[in-house]
Amino acid sequence: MRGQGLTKMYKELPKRRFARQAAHLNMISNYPNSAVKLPSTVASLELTFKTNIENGHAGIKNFWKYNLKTIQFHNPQLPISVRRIKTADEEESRKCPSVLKINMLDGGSQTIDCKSKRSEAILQEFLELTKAESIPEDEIPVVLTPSEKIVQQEKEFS
Amino acid sequence: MLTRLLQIQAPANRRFFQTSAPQLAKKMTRADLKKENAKRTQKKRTQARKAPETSPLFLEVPEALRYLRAAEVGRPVNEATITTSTVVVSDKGVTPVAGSVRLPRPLKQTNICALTTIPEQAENAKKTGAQVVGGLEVIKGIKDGSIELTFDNVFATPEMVPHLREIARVLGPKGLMPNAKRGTIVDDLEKKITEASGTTPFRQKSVLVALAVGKCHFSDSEILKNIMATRKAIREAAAKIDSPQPVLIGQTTITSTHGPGIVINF
Repeated sequence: MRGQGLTKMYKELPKRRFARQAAHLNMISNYPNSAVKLPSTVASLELTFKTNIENGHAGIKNFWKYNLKTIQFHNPQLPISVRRIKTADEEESRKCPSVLKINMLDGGSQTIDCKSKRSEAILQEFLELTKAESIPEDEIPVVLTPSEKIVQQEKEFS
Repeated sequence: MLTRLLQIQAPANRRFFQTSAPQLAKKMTRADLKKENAKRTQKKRTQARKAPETSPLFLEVPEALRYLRAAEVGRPVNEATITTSTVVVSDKGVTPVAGSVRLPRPLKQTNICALTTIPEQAENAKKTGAQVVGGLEVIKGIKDGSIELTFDNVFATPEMVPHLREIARVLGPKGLMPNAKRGTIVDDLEKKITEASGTTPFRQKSVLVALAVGKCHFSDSEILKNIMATRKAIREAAAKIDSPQPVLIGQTTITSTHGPGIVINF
């Protein structure tokens, strides 16, 4: 069935076709608190975590799935690489790092240890470290569904 | 059983609605069915003629690519493919839209080696995009291993056949050995190389023609050029089809492996 993959991937999106697609586009452009412009001193971002979420790797996976898309959307030129490690056994899985590395233009780098942290906490730490500026709400592009468009037109008319 | 039959044949005010309704319903004649179908196709045709800008999910291509690239953040290069799918409106039984397109920026570069001693052929082969072109010196290189075998195809002209035996043991196991039966020994290298490199076939499946037009790391202009080449090829293929009513090209969406579908001007 068409569109089923998306519904499975993001269960929180609405089921109707136009509404789902519009919500998906808006989620990419404006995920809560993630629409930020990074300062030009940041050269690149590197994420390293496991392919599965055991042993505290759930937060960084969610950070990649939701927040990182919005960060890339507002910083199109920023190179972001994601490395997902496949672990063979339990011991390896426990040892595997879960880090977000921020490379600076002057050669230095800072790392955030993301083990057993929620994605909101990782984002908070990331914003404090990079001193990113949040983008005002009216500068973020919005895709409206047909019904929302009608509501907006009525508002403008009255 | 008998009582049941009697009940069905009972007067209208005492009949069972569930069992007798289909029997009493007005039967659809063949003419009615035809009318219904014509109505449906007409509706599809008017929808296909609508401007893409009227869709709520319409975006300009560069803007759409910005969303798709963000959706594919951190994915491996080979995983993040950008695809267009086009709606085709045609009558029942009409041959599907099919053909092939030469993309200005192919998704995968084909490595071709051309073996010839005719200078004219060699020049043509180089012009059309063969990576390695040459005669006996190339054969020698392949034999002693100084030329790495990273080719997808090896083509040769007929006068090279006696010399090919020397490298048969190197090329053979990789399936690259030129062979008249397989059509890889040809008089016209230029034609063969153009056929082999960079053309992508497409074919209509149910109502859609889908084609991969790029990777996420391609630049905007490269993807735009690919989309324009695709558009031209699909429209040409649709125009060629013999049908009582012309085959229409409808809405086109662009999407990536993990991204949302966005309507574009096609």
